[in-house]
Amino acid sequence: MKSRILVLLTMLTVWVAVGVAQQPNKVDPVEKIPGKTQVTETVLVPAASHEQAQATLTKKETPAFYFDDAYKSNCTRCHLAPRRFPERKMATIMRHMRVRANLTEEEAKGILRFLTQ
Amino acid sequence: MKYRKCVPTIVLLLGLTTSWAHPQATQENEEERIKPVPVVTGYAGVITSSEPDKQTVVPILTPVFLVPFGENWLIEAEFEVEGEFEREDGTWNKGFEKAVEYLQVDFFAHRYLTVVAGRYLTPFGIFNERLHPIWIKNLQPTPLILPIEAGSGNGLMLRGGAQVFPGVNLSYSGYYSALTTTNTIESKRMAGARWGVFLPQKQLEIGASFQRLLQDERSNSVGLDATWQVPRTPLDIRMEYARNSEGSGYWVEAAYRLRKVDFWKPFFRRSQVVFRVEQFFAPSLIDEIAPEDFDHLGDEHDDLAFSVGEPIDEGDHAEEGDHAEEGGHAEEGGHHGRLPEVDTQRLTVGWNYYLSDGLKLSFSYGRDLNSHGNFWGLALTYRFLF
Repeated sequence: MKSRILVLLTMLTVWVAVGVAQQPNKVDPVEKIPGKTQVTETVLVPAASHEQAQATLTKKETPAFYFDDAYKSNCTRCHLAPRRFPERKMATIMRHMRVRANLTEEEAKGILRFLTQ
Repeated sequence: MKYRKCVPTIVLLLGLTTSWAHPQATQENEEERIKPVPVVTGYAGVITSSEPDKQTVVPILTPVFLVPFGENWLIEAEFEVEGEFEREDGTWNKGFEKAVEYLQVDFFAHRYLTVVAGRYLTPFGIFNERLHPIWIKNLQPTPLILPIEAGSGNGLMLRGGAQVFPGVNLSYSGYYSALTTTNTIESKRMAGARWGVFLPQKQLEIGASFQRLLQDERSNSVGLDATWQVPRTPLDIRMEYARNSEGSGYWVEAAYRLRKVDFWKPFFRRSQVVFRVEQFFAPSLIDEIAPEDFDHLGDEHDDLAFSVGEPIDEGDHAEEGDHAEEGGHAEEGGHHGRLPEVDTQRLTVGWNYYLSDGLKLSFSYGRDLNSHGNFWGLALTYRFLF
């Protein structure tokens, strides 16, 4: 019985992993904001355009997250705001933090760009 | 024995997931604009503590090596070396410890899935995996319940996170660890998982952990944790609850940055005050002694009934000298002490002063409310990166 429970728990974890992995890429139909960079297929908006983006986008077009929000909500949850290191080192640190903080690929890339641009 | 039958199933599932995810990840991973390079980082510090009849000085060096390769791989390792100088009854005793906190290979199989193999920090709760570095934790004395979280495991782990709804992130970690008795890389045979729900807009994360020990008494551990950054206020609140056959307990910690103090700003904007309250509940005798243990006593069984179900009395089961290592306030470097043997309540206050980025001076004062008195701590910690 206990072994069945263990197998079920493992399968549940794998199922969750596979389930979220099968989600299609979120390509929100956001219009390009004049003068701003649209970075990836998932909508990522640089910190500088945060207010303008919020004013421009309709409710339906709200992006998945902003660089600075992703940075604030994920990094400072555990430690102080990190110092800005050279970008190639930051790229390595972001791989480490992607594992430790269970970040998605988009969040990791967005935070990396926020910290290096 | 039953669990051995499960291992092939688990390995098969992990393998299938990995092999399924890899081609997709390769297709979807766009060329990184910034190429990562190997990094040596880590932290060092000197931690002192003082309590009645005992003073301790613990210098610590913890290098962390991060070696990325390819588009989806990372090797990471953290080693810990610490000395322990302890003055008790007028004499100094010296000790030295070294440990491998983690030595793991990470494979980013998919945007929402990372496969970890090797030695890893057990993702039970939040303190063990995320908060244990001395430059991160707000108070150097570790929580009483930390030993329940089991330091490191050797095996496989699947983990990741995803936005399941707008404004709702889900994270998960599932792991299996094999028994290892080799010095410095010990681990228990166990399996477990942690699930977390994070609300970025509320700055709130709530997690639940489960772990099954697959050896010895084959007991279960469960845990709950929460982290809340109060919006528009430099206040962080963290808490954990954990329970297993060796006891249960919780801690709640609030840390407030004094940025809004209007006077002496150069000083206060670098300061943080911390307060933690925690309790540990030792198992009662009825939990420790199975009824069949009394069978051979026959009629004498009834004579022992008075103690069954009552908490273990401190005077009977713990010596004063044992207390120093409980809960970790005398061995901050090795971030696992052992659980108290008696019910314990503790209040700790602290003050952190950030001298510069990565360099922190910490002071703490704690009091155990079950008559063990006070303990003081002073620490200087530094995070480095090359």
